[in-house]
Amino acid sequence: MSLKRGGKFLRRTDVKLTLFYIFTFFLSALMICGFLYLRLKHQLVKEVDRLLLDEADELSDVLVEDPRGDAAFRNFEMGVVTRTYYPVYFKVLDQGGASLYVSKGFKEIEYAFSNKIMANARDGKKTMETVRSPRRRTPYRIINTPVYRDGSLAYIIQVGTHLRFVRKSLSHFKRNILVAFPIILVLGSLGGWILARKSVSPIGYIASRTKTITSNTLSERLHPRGTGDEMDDLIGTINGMIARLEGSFKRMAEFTADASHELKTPLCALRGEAELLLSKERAIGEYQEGLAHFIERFDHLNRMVNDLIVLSKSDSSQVELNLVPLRLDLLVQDIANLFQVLAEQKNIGLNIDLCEETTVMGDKMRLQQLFTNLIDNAVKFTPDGGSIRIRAERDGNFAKVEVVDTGMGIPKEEQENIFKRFYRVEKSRSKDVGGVGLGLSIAEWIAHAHHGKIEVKSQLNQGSTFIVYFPLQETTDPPLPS
Amino acid sequence: MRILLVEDDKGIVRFVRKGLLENSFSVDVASDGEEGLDCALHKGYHLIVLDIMLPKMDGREVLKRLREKEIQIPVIFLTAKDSERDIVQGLNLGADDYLTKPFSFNELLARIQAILRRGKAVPIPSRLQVANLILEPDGHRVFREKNKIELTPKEYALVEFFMRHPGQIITRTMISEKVFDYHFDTATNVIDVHVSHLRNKIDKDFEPKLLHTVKGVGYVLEERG
Repeated sequence: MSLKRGGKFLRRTDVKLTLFYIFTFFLSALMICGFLYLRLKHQLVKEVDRLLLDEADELSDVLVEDPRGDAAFRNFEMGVVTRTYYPVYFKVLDQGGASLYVSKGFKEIEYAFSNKIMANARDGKKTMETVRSPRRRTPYRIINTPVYRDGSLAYIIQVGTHLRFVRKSLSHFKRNILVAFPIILVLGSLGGWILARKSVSPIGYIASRTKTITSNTLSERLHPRGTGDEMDDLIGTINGMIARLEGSFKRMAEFTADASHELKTPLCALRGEAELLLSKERAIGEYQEGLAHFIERFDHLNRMVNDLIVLSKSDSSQVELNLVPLRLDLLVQDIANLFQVLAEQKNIGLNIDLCEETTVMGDKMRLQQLFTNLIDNAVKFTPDGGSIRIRAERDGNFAKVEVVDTGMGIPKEEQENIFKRFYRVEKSRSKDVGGVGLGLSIAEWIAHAHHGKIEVKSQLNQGSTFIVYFPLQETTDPPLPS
Repeated sequence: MRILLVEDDKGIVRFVRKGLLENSFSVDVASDGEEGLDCALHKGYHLIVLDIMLPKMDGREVLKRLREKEIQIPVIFLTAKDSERDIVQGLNLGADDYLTKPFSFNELLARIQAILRRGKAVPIPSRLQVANLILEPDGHRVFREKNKIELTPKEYALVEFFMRHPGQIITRTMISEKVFDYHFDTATNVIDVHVSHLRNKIDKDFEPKLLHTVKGVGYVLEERG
C-alpha cells in the first residue's frame, strides 16, 4: 500500500521536476566548489612561488658578486630563515651537484637532488616542486634555479619554504564549503519545489475544474490566470473545446426539439382525422378517401423519419456508401428528364445544357437523392413561367454540377443557414410547398461524404444557383452505365 | 398458393397474414429462424417471405442454408436496415426480391405476384396486347385502335412495363425502381405525373379505359368489364 502510494508520489510531475532540479543543482554546485578550490590552491601556491623566485634572484646576485663567500651566504641566511610567515631555506650546489652551502632548516626538508633537476638546469630551466617529507606533515615548496657564468652552468640554487599557511587557508575554505553546501542545497531544493509546484498547480486546477463540467454545465468556463503562458493557452484550448461541445449540444437539443415537433404535428393530424372518421357512420367512399389520405400522411412521415435516420447516422459516420465509378453527367440528365414533367406543369423551362462527360466515384442512390433535392427545390421555388438550367462540366480535378433557377432567391443573411437542419427561409413561405427543411442538409452531407462540396449563390428575386463539386475519377476503364 | 411467412413481429404478421389470406393465399407463419428453416425444408411452399432480423437464426443464415440444400423456392426478404449492403448481401445469397420496413402490404403483394408469375411469362412476345392497346417491342411502337400513339421514351418504358404485367398492381416504388432506375423515394408526385401523361395519350380519347389508379398504392393496367 505504502509502496503504491510511494510510486504514485514519485510519478507526480512536481516531484519529478523537483528531483531533477535538485540533482542538477547538486551537480553544478559541486563542480563550482571544486573549481573554486583548485583555483584558490593554484593562486596561493603561485604567491609562494613568486616569493621564492625573488629570494632565488637575490641569492644568485649574492653568488655572482662573491662566489666563494660563505659570509655573504650566512648574511643572507640571517635575513630569510627567521621570517615568521615564510621562512626561506636554501642550498647552493656546484655545477656537478655537490653541496657548497646549506642553510639552517633545509636538511629537515629532506629534499633529494634528482637527475631531472640537473637536466632542467643544463637546459637553463627552473624546476618547481612540492614535496612532503615522510616524517613531517607539512609540505614544502622548492624552486631549483640554475646560475650561469660565462655562458656555462656554474651553480644550482635550491630555495624552499613550507606551505603551512596555504594548507591552512585551503582547509578553511573546505570547511566553509562543507557548511555552506547543505544550506545552498536545501535552499535550492526548496526553490525548485516551489517553482515546480507553481508551474504544475494550474494543471490541478484545470483537472478538478474540468471534472465538474457536465452536459448540464457546459456554459461554464475555466478562468485563465492572465499570465499569457502555455497554461493559459491550454485553458484557452479547453475553453474552446467546451464551447464547441456546448454548441453541438445546443444544436442537438434544437434538432431534437424540431424533429419531435415536425413528427408530432402530422401524427396529431392523423389521429384527429381517424377520430373524426370513427365518430359516426359514414359512406364507404368517405372511409376509402380517409384511409388513402392516411397512407399519404404515412408516406410523408416515413420519408421524414428516413431523412432523420440518415442525418443522425451521418453524424456518427455510420452510413455506408456504395461507391462505384459512375457517369455523373448521365445521372444528372436522367433525373432532370424525370423531373421535366413537374417543371412543365408550372410552365417552367427545364434546360439541360450540353454536359461534359464526367466520371466520379459515387453512391448512385445518394447522388440521385442529392440532385432530386436540388432540382425539386428549384422547381418548387421558381414561379410559373421561370426557367431552370442544369449543367455538368469539368472544373480542374472536379466534376461540377450547377442547378440555376430564376426563383425567388435567398436573402444574403439566410444563405449560410439554408444547410442547417429544419431551416426554412421564411418558414411560412415554404411551408405550403411542402418539405420540412432537411433536403439541403442531406444534400450537403451527401456532397461531403463524397469528398465534394456544395455551394450556393443567390440574389433575392433573381434566382439561386447551387453548385456541387465532386472529385473526378480518372479512369481508363469504361464506367458502368449510369 | 402456399406462402411461408418467417417474421417475429406480431403486428407485421397480423396484417401480412390477413392480407394474403384475403388474396386467396394460404399462409403459414414461423416466428423464428430455426422454425422457419424447418418449415421451409419439410413443407412445400411456392414462396417465402423472410425477415432478416430473427431470433435464434438470422434470416440470411436461413436463406443460405436453404440455397445450400439446392432448394430454390423464391424468397422475398424484409429488412429494417435501409442499408445498401444488407440488400446487396441478401440478393447475393439468392433472394429474389427485398422490401425495407416499413413497407406497404400492396407493395409486398405486387412483388409476390410478380415473382409467382415470372415462371409463366412468355419469353419476349413480338406483340403485347391488352384489349385494343397494342405494343410492338421491335419498333417501339404503340397503337390504340390502330392509331399510332407518339410517346416519349419515358412514357414508352412505362407502358411497356405495364403491358408486361397486365392486371397486376404496379406500385409507385416499382415504377420508379424498375422503369426509371431511380432508387430514392421522393416527396414529389413525379411518378403520378408521368403516369397521367401516359394516360392522356393512351386512354383519354379511347374506350375502354385501361389504366386504373389503385388508391394509395399505385396503378393497374387491365380491361375492366
